[in-house]
Amino acid sequence: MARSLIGTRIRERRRAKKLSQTMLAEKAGISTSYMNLIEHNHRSIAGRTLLSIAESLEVDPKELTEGADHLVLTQLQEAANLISEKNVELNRLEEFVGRYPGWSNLCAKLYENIQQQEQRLQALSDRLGHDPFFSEAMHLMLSNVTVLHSTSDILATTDEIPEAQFQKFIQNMKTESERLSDTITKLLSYFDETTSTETQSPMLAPSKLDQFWEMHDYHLFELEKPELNPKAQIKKMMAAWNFQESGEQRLAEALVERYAKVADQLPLDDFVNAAVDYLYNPIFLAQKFNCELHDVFFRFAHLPSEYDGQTLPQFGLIECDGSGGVLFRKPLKTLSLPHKSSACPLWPLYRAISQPMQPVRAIMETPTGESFLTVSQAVWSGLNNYTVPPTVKSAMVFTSDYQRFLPTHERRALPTIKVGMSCEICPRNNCSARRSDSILDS
Amino acid sequence: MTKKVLLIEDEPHIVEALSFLLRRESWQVEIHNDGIGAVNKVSELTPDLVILDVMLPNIGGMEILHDIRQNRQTAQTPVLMLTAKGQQKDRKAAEDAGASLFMTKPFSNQEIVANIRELVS
Repeated sequence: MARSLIGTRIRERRRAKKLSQTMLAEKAGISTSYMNLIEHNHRSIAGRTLLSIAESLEVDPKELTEGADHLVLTQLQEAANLISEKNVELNRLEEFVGRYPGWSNLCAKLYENIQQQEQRLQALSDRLGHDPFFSEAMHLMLSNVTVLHSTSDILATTDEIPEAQFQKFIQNMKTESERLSDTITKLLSYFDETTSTETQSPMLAPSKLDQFWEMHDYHLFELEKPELNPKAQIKKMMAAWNFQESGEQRLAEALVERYAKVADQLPLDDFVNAAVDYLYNPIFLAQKFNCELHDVFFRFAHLPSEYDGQTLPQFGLIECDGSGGVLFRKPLKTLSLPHKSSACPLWPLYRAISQPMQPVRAIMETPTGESFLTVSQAVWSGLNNYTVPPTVKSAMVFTSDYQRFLPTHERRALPTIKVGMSCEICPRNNCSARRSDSILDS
Repeated sequence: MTKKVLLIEDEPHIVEALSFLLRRESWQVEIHNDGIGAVNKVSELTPDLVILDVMLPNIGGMEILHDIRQNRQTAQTPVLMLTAKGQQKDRKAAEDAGASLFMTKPFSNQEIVANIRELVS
């Protein structure tokens, strides 16, 4: 933030207090001409002069210095870039923020609000599109309607139907009508329940950290170039995002630092080329770059959607501890992930926990028919300690774009595991891993 | 000569309605209601048309279609895909996999019969 803003702020606050320039100069113990130079940003001030002016204006000196408006400036800059309004006087942004702090704060808050609403809308849209219960219910209803539509048409347009067949059709229509009614009732009740807990739902109220990743599309291009000084970039990001909760701030910092480390170890250009050459096989890539498998997973999950003119496959990632508690999540539009607790126990993510260090590769198929290539591995953490038992951390990287790179013979050799999201919304009734009843129609 | 249609669909009431419609047209109808064994059934029966549901138990309709097209004996058999998903991407995926026609549920009896007539002729 430019030092030049200090003078503008002093002038605005003086005017707000209805003080003349001479009066303020006298109070602060400096000459009127010097005060005039300061207010017109022709003199930079600090130390005792700054303190005495701040005291005379009864404001915290920080309000006059550069830190106070940094977030507002960043947000307004982002808003201007995002909306691409050509007539915005970006070169006068600092002046605007300095002269009209109230209005600029309001604009920044409105921008933040719009961002949050967009995130919320996106989450709702994802939910409707990929909610397994909703999808299964729609499938059931379409089947019910198909039977009703087709059978009623037959009854209406066929002159002679054998009595037994006629009675069978009537019975079929009765059964399908009852099923349709039942499915609709359950669907309404499901939406009622989810709506009533909406304010608490992490799905619809994503944490600021989720918003951070989603807004960057999980790719931090600022950290891809070592010449941009990743440490400075991280500091800037953390200041701009201003994570309120200290736990979230620490977690965000740790993740972004991990990103920078992985980006340094697996440079984007080399990694993308190698990934294409090695058909996105994480084991080969870990050997090539002499790194952990988890680093390759993390890199996969943070690839840009396009690179050097080519569209890259999109990978999701979930990391959890030994109890299934989620440590990191990057969902895909085709697969939502739990926010905190565990998902379906059949996910290879959890199977990997039972055999630490051994990578597990499998095709995972959801009840809605989506299939994902998954690679999972659990690693030990906290070894070499006599008193504290070691823990495990498991990670599963997954993609639905695997047809693009996985040879057919390899695909056929892989086991296909039929999984769900959670028991309550899983239609697989004969599942040995079921913990609770499904609310779906059997 | 009577045309033979193999209906691969797991929903019994849809099977019943469709079978009635097809038999009314004097076509011979064979039924299979599981993904498992579907491809073998196509090879064994050599039908004039396969009506294939996308969402089947155990093996999905898209994989079955892929296998039908890979098998020299069945590669040319017309396949009408039936699905509850009518999205453009599903239609495109079915076309890419070699579906002769793609229809969404709920379908019109008149339309499906007309399409089948055209495919088996």
